[in-house]
Amino acid sequence: MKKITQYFSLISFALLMIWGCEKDEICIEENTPLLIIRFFDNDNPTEYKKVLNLKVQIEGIDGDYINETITLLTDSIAIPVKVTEDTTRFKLILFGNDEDVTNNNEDVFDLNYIREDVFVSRSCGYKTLYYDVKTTLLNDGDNWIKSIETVKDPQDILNQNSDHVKIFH
Amino acid sequence: MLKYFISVFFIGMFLVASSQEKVKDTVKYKDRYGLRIGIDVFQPVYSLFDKDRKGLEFVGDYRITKRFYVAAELGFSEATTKEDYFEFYTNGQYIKAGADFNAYKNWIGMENMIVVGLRYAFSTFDQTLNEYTINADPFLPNQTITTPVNYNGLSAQWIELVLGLKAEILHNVFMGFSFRWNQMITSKEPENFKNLYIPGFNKVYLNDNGFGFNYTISYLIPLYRK
Repeated sequence: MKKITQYFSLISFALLMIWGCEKDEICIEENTPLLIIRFFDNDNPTEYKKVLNLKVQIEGIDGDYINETITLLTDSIAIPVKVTEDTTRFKLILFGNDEDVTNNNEDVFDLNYIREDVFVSRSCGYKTLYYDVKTTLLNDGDNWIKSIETVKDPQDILNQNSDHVKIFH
Repeated sequence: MLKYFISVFFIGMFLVASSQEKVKDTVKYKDRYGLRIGIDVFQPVYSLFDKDRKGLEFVGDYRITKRFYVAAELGFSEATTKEDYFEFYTNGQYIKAGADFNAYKNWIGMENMIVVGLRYAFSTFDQTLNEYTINADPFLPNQTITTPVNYNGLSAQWIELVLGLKAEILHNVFMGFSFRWNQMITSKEPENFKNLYIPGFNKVYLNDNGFGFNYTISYLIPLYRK
């Protein structure tokens, strides 16, 4: 009986070790992709052209969208697209992030798409992918954005490996 | 050549003769052989503390040689699993069949076991994705889909490595427990979802393996002695 107790302890210990080494389940896969926009020079359409003091807002959501791509001077931004609707209306405000509000120039464009929810993993759950993305620029008579187009036609937003939309200004 | 065969024949005769000379004078103890059937008491007790898990398992083994037993488990289970971004319900049944090896050398008359075993297991089950929330930028309003999605007629098969103990606590009554390490062979996966919990297999980890445990009380029906 003493021997059986020893065996018991050994087996329990071995299995506790296995259990103890269980991997922490943290979401490391890519979840819902952001829309990547690159800014080009309208006069020289193959050249990038940086934007100064850009402010990004999404209609229907309070506050400004902030992330590390929206800097003082940037030629590309990554912004979220609504997963609740098939249209997202973006407001890109040139000089919107400086003290002076009189120089603000707000341009609005719509992004239309078809949504699909795709399972990723236990820890990440589901992400949304956007298919057949279309852009529409609203003309306010004083657009700093001269034109907007998708990089490809049809354009899908499946990952953040490359840009999806080009803005010429 | 013929000479060679003849000498082999004679050596053989000698061996047969010599083995027959060893007639044992001792009283040989005969082991009991029989069918042992039981129930897992761990799952019913566990469901008292965790309302999301329900299950029942019957176990059985049949001794075939001094140290080998054919063994099987039969059970069903119901489980609701809550993850960060979704919740799902699993409902199904399973059967496991294989063999146990007794690694313990008993004293005469004792029937304790240190079980080292192997099982082939098969489960059929349904999954229901109760709800999920899209994992997106926190700036966006949440999208939670609460319409349940049913995935029926799923199945999985896997191999289990069993390590355990069994001891006779009363005459013919055995108490035992076992730990199981499971490795999936194949599974029929739902579309746009994954079998993250499988009856009998339990939680399915990233590399398609899992762990199991049972605590059984069983009764031996002795059939013959050998």
